[in-house]
Amino acid sequence: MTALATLSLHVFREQLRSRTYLLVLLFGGAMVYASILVGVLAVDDELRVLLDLGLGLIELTVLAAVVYGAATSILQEMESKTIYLILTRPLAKWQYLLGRFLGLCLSAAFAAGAMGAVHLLLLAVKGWWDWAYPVWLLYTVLKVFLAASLATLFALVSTSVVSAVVMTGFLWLLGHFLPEVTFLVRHGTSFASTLLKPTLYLIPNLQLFNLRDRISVPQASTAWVFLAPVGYLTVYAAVVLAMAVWLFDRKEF
Amino acid sequence: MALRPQRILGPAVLAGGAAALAAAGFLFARGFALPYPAPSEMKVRADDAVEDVALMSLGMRRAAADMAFVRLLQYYGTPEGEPAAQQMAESVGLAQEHHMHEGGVYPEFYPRAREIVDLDPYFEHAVLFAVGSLAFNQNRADEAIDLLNRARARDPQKWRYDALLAAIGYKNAGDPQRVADALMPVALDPDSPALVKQVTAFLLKRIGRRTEAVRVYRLLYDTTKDEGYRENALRNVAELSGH
Repeated sequence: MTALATLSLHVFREQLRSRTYLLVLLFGGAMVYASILVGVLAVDDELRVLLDLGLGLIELTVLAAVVYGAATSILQEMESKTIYLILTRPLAKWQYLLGRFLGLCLSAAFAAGAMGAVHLLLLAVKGWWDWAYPVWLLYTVLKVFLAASLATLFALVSTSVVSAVVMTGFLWLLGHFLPEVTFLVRHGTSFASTLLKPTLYLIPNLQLFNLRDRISVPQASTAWVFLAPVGYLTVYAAVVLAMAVWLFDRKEF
Repeated sequence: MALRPQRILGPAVLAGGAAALAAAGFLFARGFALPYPAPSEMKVRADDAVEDVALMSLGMRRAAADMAFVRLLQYYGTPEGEPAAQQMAESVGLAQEHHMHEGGVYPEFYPRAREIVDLDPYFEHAVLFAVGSLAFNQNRADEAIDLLNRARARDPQKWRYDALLAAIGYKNAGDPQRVADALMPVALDPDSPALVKQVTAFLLKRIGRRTEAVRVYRLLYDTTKDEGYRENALRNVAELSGH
């Protein structure tokens, strides 16, 4: 447990020292601030635009930082053989991967929290406040956690950073388009549609986490709306990471 | 040739993992439906299709609706200046007095508004703005009713939609007093669009209900950031108050 915590903190610190991570964060913060300009164009609807664009930009920025971090660090450590320094210690391979994943989650939460604070401050200055904001942000971060688990797996499957990032990005897009893809597959009459139906459940359902996109939808705020994404993330990430561990066990450096 | 355990284990792990992922999807996402129109029900303008799809695939559907709304405001704020259309609007009796939308025909207004409603039918401010403009500024009641019905189908609890629908009905029946009565609660809501307040205040002024007109103009002045509306409201308050 201590080893896991130590490794997670090490990854978190490593991310904080990473120029890419900091640059992406800085860029994200600047973009959130710049969304004021678009908000002004909406005249009396400025707050809504500022809220939507800000939350969306925070999500994309954190995603970029975390997926890049997940894809690069493992591959680089394997390439430079520095991974031996870690694995020669009394640390199981599953602990190494889980520690890396948790460290990335920590850095995602930190980045979202920092940018969310700036965003909320901007909104508060404009006269907006809602206690639900941290909840929307939390589910945004949970969505990024799921992407981080996928990026960890793809970093082991692929041989380059680009392909790992592209594969994660592809699933990210597909995960948001899942309701539309499901609609198209269910209404398709071809043999391919029939074949595709079972695979729909394999695609990560990211819309489950997208509470910020359903802010004004009058729906019952049942516990299931909040619990289902957490349960889904737990199982989905656990399975993806288990597969990553299985692959990692068989990997020759 | 005997199969080695490693050869069996790989596909077995993959199949097991896939089954576990599918089970997670089935267990936690079963019955989950996005409360938005299906792709087959949507009518997106070709010019905006790429942007809309890109934002939707990034999970930013509300932001896509916001961008479409900003584009609609810019489109409506660009003068089209056709004297014939201006005369037509005046003959209808509800020609507006604002710096925006004077005279133009704005053939793209409905498709643009429809795109917003398809992207986010819960975007009440945009729906009220578009319906108010179509029904009372552009004399396109059928399109206004169509938009209202699309929004009401998803969000039937919104009383402002019912009020606007009633106002359009009274307008078609040629009863300006009742149009004003129906619009008043919407106009007196600080959160309703400036355009609805403007239309209501102007109508009240025209039918001689000056005190109510002043009240709405004052609220319009206090609640909008649009300088055009504010200047107009100030001028009318001064005029109606006899200053």
